[in-house]
Amino acid sequence: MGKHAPPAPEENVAVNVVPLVDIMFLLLLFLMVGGDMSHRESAELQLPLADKATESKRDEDNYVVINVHPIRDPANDAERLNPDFRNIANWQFGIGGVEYKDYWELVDKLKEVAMRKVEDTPIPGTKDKYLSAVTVTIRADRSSPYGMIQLAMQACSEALLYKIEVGAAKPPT
Amino acid sequence: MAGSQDPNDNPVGINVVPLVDIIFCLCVFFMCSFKFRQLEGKFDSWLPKDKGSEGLPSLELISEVRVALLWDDAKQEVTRKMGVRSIPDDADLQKSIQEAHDAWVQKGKPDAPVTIDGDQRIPWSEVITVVNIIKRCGIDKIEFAMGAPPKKPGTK
Repeated sequence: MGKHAPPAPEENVAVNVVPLVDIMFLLLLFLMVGGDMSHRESAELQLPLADKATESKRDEDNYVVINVHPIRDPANDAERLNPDFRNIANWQFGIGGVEYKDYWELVDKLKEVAMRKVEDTPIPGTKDKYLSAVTVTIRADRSSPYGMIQLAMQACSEALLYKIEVGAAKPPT
Repeated sequence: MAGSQDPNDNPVGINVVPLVDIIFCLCVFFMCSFKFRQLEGKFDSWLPKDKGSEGLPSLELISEVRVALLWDDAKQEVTRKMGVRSIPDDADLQKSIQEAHDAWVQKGKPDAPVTIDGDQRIPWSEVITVVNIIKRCGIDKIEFAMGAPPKKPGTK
């Protein structure tokens, strides 16, 4: 009787891809949620840099963001440096994805927003006029003309909004 | 390998290779389109409650430190002035603002604001630079000088 060679052990080298698929799903979920492609309140702007800017702590239910950006983005630096680029007529305001080119349309919208929350006591000297407790954040592109921010502040004043913040980016450390 | 399965493990026999391929493609798409947002901060600039946008100029002696920002359209640049002195350097401007404000503090007016008076055409980044410099001086009260607001259409 001959000796039988021991049977070769079966080696299962199949890779288990279940954890890979799990991780890929999580990564996908993270990227989908983090990279929001829709038009949001924090529109894509190049904010001016300021190391003394403080973190914004806002009442999530009672704030509004006014974005200031050009109607048409300049194609190159030469266009950005063109004096016409600094003309207020080439700029617009944006609130919640809706653009406002007309100052009085902006005022009407801000009056509507201001009614969300008003102060408890009326303005001294009046009986039925109340200042708004809504916080306004003005996020303006760094190259936007100062006149646009002035108009935004004046519109807030017309709408009895006085709690204004101006947005700035913290410089990279 | 994906798809190489023992029939005893998964009697239905689903081929997961296309699933993993599609997920890879989606991940690559979202990774390429992902943008990291800038860390944002803010400066408080609450409007004064006791002054209207059409307020008459006060007859009291103005106690303030004023920084003027002038725009040269031809050169496309900003000139910063305090009084008649032009101050292009940030460190110099910080020192001048601090000295001027300290002078008001010594006169018993610690609440004297720093007013930024700028041309409508100057870039917003120049204004924020000045605001940042003022904040570095530890001064909280900043005012923005403005002209009259636009008149409502139909009003005289």
